[in-house]
Amino acid sequence: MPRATLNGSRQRPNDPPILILTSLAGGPKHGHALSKDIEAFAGVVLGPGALYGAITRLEERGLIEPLASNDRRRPYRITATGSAYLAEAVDEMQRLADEGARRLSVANKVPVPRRGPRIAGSPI
Amino acid sequence: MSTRGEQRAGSTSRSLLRWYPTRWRARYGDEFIAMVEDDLEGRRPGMRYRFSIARFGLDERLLGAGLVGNSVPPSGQVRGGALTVLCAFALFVVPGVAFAKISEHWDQSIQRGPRHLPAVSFNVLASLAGACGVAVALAALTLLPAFVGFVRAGGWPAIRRRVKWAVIATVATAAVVAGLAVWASHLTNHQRNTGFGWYQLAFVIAALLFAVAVATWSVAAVAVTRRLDIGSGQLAFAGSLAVVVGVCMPLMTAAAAIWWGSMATTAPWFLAGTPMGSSPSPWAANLLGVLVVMTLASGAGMFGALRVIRSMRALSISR
Repeated sequence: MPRATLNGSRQRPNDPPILILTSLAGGPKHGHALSKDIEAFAGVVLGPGALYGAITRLEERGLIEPLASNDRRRPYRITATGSAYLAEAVDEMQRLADEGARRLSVANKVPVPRRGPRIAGSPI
Repeated sequence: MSTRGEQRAGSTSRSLLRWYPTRWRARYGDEFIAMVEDDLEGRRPGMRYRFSIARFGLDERLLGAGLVGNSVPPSGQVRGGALTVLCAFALFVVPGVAFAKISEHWDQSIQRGPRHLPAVSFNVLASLAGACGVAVALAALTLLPAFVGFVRAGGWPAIRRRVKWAVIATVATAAVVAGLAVWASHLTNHQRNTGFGWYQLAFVIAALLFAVAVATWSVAAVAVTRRLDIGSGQLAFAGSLAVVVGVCMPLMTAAAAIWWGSMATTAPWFLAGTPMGSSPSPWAANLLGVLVVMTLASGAGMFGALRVIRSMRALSISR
């Protein structure tokens, strides 16, 4: 069963909420830092409108929370519920990717290389 | 960045923030402005950037009003849908009144030939308009206790300014219409309908004032209703009445179009204002304008009615 997004539609890896949760899984960040991080790891440019629209929905759902700040640039961090949500979404996308790779290899008779477990600190 | 550049970036960011609803601005405004400033680094935002923020700001307004998504509870969604129907009906009233004026004494223009279709369509339109009026009045009566409670609890200052503007617009409209009525009594039929420029101008001003009065009352009604503490039973009843109004509007538009079509074949001289028995073009720009606005209002009304219907199920589950 495909996982539903915050809007109830099908989950996609480039959905702003998933990108934000993924970025925050690496540590708290404010809006501009989030945008730059997402651009770096996903190649997706999220403008202030899209970013804050997703932040609003994620905060409403309790998936992220703001941290106290004296600056206008308020940082956010992922909550335990948010981590669980992201883990489930990543698992779902992983299964979809695996299934796609399996079917491609059957159709093309060419084995698609499976990515091994990532070693902490390894660049690949 | 220079001080001048910083000031310009700050004012640009603040102007972009206006697309968002007040409550959202209070919560996210400062950090949003900070992000826009960081993003732009003193440059002017391009059209695409502005358009993107405007789009998401309007999205946030629709979400906050309960018109899309599930960010607000079902009661808020029913309320948002019903208020959309109310605003659509207010918009519908303006071409509706224009239609009433255009079709005045239409039955006297047909001396022979079939008058069944124009009569049926006109009567259907008039009956549905009456039903809508009753539905709106019933909804207002349903919410009256909540309104009294709101005023007694000290809520009046929050809505006073909007109600004041609505009263001013209504008094101005009534004064102009009364003056127009006195003036009209001293004019001939020909002067009233075609040949006297100043009277026509005053008539247009009265029509515009009427539209402004309707708009200001709609704004006041929305401001009041959004603040009322409404029970789920009252809300469900008011929502049902909104659905009735939302469904009636496209039916009235269809009836107006049928009336126009039947009059175009039976008595085109009435639509063109030419002598009886002539064969002018049945295309009347004023009627076309009326039907276009009616169609737009009907679309908005149906959107609101569908929102109410969909949210009503969730409301009944949550009760």
